[in-house]
Amino acid sequence: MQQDNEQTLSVTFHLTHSCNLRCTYCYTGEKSGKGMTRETADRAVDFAIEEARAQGAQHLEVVFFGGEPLMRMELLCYIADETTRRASDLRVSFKLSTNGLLLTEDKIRELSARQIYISISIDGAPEVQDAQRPNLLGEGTSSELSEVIERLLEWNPCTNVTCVVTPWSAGSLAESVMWLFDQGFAYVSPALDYLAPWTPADLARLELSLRRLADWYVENTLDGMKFYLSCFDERIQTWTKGPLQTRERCSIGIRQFSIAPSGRLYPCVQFVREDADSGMVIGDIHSGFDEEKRMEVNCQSEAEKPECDGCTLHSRCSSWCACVNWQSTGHIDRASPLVCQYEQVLMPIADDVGKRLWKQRNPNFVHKHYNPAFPVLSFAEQLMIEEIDHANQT
Amino acid sequence: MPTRPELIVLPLEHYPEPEYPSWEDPDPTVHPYPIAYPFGERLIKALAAAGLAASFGSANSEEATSGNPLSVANSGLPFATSAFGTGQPTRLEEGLARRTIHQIFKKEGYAMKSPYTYQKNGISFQADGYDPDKKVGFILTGWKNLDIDGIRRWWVQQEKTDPETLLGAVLKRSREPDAPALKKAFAEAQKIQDKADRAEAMEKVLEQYSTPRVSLEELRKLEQQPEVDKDFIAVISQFDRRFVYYGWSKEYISQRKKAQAIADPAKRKAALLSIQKLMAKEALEKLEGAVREYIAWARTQGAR
Repeated sequence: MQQDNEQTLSVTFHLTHSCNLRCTYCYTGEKSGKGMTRETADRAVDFAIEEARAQGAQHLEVVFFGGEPLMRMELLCYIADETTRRASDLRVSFKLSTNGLLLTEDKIRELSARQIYISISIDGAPEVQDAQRPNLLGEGTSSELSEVIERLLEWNPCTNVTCVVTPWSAGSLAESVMWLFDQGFAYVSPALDYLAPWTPADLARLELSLRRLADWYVENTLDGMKFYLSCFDERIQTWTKGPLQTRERCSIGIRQFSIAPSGRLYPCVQFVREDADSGMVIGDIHSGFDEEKRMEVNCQSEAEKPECDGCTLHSRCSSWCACVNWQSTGHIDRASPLVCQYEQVLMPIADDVGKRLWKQRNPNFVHKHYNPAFPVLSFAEQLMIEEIDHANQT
Repeated sequence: MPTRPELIVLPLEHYPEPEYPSWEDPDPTVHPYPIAYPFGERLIKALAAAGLAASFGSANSEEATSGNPLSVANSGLPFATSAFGTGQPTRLEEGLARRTIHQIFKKEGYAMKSPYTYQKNGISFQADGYDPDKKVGFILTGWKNLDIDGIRRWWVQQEKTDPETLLGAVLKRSREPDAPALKKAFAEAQKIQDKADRAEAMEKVLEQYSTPRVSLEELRKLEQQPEVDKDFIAVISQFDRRFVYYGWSKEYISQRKKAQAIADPAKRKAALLSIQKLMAKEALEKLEGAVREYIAWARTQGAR
C-alpha cells in the first residue's frame, strides 16, 4: 500500500525475451530466447537497491516483465527472495506482468508466499483473446485461460487485468471489458495498441463502444458494484485529484527504469524491445547510468510540447507519457496524435459518467474519487468478506 | 514506424467544465452533507450471517440521515412574522415553486400524484406530490397549509389589528370562504376574554375550517419516515430564506407596469409570470438545486 509522501523507485526486471504467446501487437520485439543469467540477476538486485538508497527512496518496487516472466519462475523467485533479504532497510513490493498461461496452483502459491502482486493480460472474450493472443502455433488460448482465471481470482480477487485494444477490436471493447468483469475481475485496465495504424474510422468505432461501456459503468456503480476501470477512472481523477503533476508522473529513467536480460538499462519497459537499440540505452548494471543520456531522456519527457499549446485538455490528458509518444511518433517529446484524438473522444464520455453519478450523489462514486482512504477501505472490506465467509464456512 | 496521415495533434480550444466537483471544491464526502461509505451487499450479507449486521447498519444510517438538505431545521419554520419595512425579501410564488419542484421530480423519474393524501404512522397531511410506488414526494409549506404552531403565533399577533381584517384573512385560507358557520364560530371565539383561551378557540376554528394542514410535529415525524418506512417526503417551505429574492429593481418595476397594462388577462398573466421568473431566477435555481440535492440524498439512503 502506498504510504503518504513515500518516495518510490520502480525497477522492472526483464527476465527473458522468450514468450509462449505471439500477440499480434507485441512491442517487446523478437522472441530470441535470450534470458537473464543468475549472475546478471544478482548484480541487478544490488544495482536496484543501491540506486534506491542513493535516491533516498523508502520504497523499492520490483516489477517482473518479459517476454513471459513465468518462463523463468526459478529466477523470478530468486530475485524476489534476494531483494527482500538484501533490502531490509527498504519497503519492498513486487509486481508480475504475465499472460497467465503458466499460472499453476503451485506457482500461484509460490508467488503469493512472496507477496508478488499479479497483473494478467487478457484481451477479453474468447473470440478477441484467440485472435489477438495466439500461441506459437497460432492457436487460440482462451480455453486454457478459463481455469487460470478462476484459480487466480480465488487467490486474489483484486487481481488487475490489462486488455489491449487494437483497431480490429476497438468496436468490441465494451463487450470485452464486460466479459472480464463477468469473470470476476474488479480491476480492468484497457490499453490501446499505440503501434497500430489507427484511423478516424477506428476511433469512431471505439467511441461508440466507450459510450456503451459508460452506460454499463453508471448502471453497475448505481447497483453498488465496486470496480476500477482505468479508462474512465483515470480521466475522472484528473479532475477530482487535480492535473497530473510532474512528481506524480512516472519520471522515466529516474524514478523508474528497466533492466534488460543483458543488464542494459532502459528508461521504461517499451524501450527494451530486442535490446538492440543503443539509442535508448541509459547505462548498464555493471558500469552504472550514462547520466548524460539519462537526463536527456528525462528532460525530453518532461518538456512542454508546443503542438499542445492552447489545448484546454492539456493538464488532463496523457500526452506526457514518454514511451507512448515514442511508440507512436518515434520521439519522446512529441505528442502522439493517437493519444490526442483518443483523449478528446474519451474525456467527455468520462466526464459524463462523473456528472451522472455525482448528480445522484452515488456513494460509490463519491468515495472512490474523493475519499483518500477508499483504496484501503475497499481492500479491507474485501478482506473482511473473505474472513467472515471463511469463518462462517468453518 | 507506421504512418498515420489521418490522425493529427489538434489542440482543443474549448472544453466545458465537468459537472462534478474538482479537487478545488469542498470535500464531497461531507459537503453539503455526509455520504456514508458504501459497504457492499456482500459484506452486509457476510456480517448478517455472523450476526453483526444490525449494529453495523444502524451506525451507518445515523451518520447519513443528518444530511437531509430539505429538513425542517432548514425550512424556516416555524415562521414568525417580521416588522413591515423596506428590504423585505420576496418569496417564490407558490404555483411557480410547485411547478418547478414537480418538473425536477418528473425529470428524475418520479410519477407524482398531486395532491396526495398521506396517512401513515399517525401522520396525515396533503402532500403536494407523491409517488406511491417509489415512496418519494414533497410538501410545499406555505400560508395555505402552514403548521399550527406558526398559525398560533400569527393569530395572537394579528389581534393587534381589527377583527374584520383578521376574519378576512381566515376566510381567505378556509375551505368554505363564505360559510356562515365559520363566521359564526369566529365571532364566538372573538368574544372570549382570556387571550390564551381565545387563541385556543381560534385555533380550533381554523382547524375545523381551513384547508388540510400539517403541524411542525408531523413534519418532524415525517423526517423519521426514511428510517421507519423508507418514505422520503421533502419538506420545502416558502419561508426558507434560501429561496427568497430581492428583485424589485427599477427595471423590473417598469416591466411589471407594462405587463399590468396588458388588456388580455391571459397575456397579462403570462407576461407577469415571465417577469417573475426573471426576477426569481436565482431563487428558483437554488430551489432546483436543493430539490436535486434532496433526491440525491434520498437515493443514498435507499430511495428508489
